[in-house]
Amino acid sequence: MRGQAYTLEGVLAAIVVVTATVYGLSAVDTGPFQTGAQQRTAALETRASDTLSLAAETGALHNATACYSVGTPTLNGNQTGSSTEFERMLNRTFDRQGEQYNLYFSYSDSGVRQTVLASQESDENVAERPADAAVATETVTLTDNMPARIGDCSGTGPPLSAVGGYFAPDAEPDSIVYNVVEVRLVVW
Amino acid sequence: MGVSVLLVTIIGVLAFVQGSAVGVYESPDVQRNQPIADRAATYLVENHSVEGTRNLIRYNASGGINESLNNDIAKHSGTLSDLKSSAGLDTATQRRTNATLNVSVVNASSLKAGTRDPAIDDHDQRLAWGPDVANRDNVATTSRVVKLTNATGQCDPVCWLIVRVW
Repeated sequence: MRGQAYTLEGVLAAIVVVTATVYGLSAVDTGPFQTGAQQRTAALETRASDTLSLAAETGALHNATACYSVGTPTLNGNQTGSSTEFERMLNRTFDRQGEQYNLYFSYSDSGVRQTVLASQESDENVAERPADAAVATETVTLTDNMPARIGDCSGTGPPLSAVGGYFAPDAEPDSIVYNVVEVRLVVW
Repeated sequence: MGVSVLLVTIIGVLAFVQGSAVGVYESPDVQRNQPIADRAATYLVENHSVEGTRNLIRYNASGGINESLNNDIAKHSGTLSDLKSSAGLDTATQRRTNATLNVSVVNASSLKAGTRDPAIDDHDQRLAWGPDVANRDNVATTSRVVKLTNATGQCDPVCWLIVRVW
C-alpha cells in the first residue's frame, strides 16, 4: 500500500516536472548559440561567393584566370598597382574593408589536380590562417583558342595553347578544352 | 582532493568550451534579425537580377529594384511592407513585433573610402529606402556584393546592397 503511494507520487512529480519544462520552453525563444565570430564568418562567406559570382558574370574572373602568370605575376587587390577589374573588385570588397584573403587556382596537370596561390604570398597570409575562414569557389573553363590576357589583363595575347609560360598546361590535347580551373577564395 | 577535482573540472570546462560557448557577446536581437536580413537581401538579389545571371541587379528598368522599392515606400508611408510580405518576413507573434527594414546601395567610391554612405544617382535620388537607421541599437546587417545595370559608372567595379534590420 505504502509502496504504491510512493510510486504514484513519483509519477505525479515527473508529470509536474515535464509539464513545467514544456511550458517553460514554449515561453522563451530558443535558438542555436552563435557568437559574433560565427556571424562574421557567415557574412564573409556571402561576400566571397558574391564576389566570385559577380566576377564570373561580368567576365572579370575569366580575364583574370587567362591573365595570371602571363600578364600579371599575382592577383590581389593591393592599394597600389592593381589595375585589372577582378583585382579592383577584391580591393573594394576585402582589402579596403580590412579583410585578409588567399586566392587559389586549382587546375588539371596530366590528370592530377595542382593548386597555385595566385594572390600575393605574405607572412600573415601563409602563417596565420585561422580555423574559421570562409571559402567560396567558382569554376572557369578555358578552351584552346581563347586568347591569353596581357598587359593589365585587358589586352589580348596569343591563344592559350600557343602562349609560353602559362601556369596551366593543356589538360586535354585532343579536345578543344584547354583546362578547367577551379578558383578558390579563402577569406578571414 | 575534492578541491583539486573541482579546480581541474572548472579549468577544463573553461579551456574546452571557450570557443563554442564563451564568445563575444551578441545581442539576441541581432541573432533573431540576422536571418531576416539575410532572407530580405537574398530575395532582393534573386528577384531583381537580370534574367539568367547572378548578382547583376536591374536598377532603372521596369520591375527593377529602384521602381519596386520606390513604389513600396510610397504605398506604405516610408516602410518596406511589400518587401517584407513578399519575402515572407511578416513573422510577428504575441511576443515579437515585425522587424523594420532599411535597404541601401553603397557605390564603389564609398567602399574605397571605407564608408557606407548611400549612393546618389543621376536624378539626385539617394539610394536608401525605409526608415532611417540612425540611433538604432542591435541592428543586424547583411551586405551583398552586386552590380547595378544601366545605372552609371558608380558600380565600377562593385556596389554593395546593404539590408539593415532591427
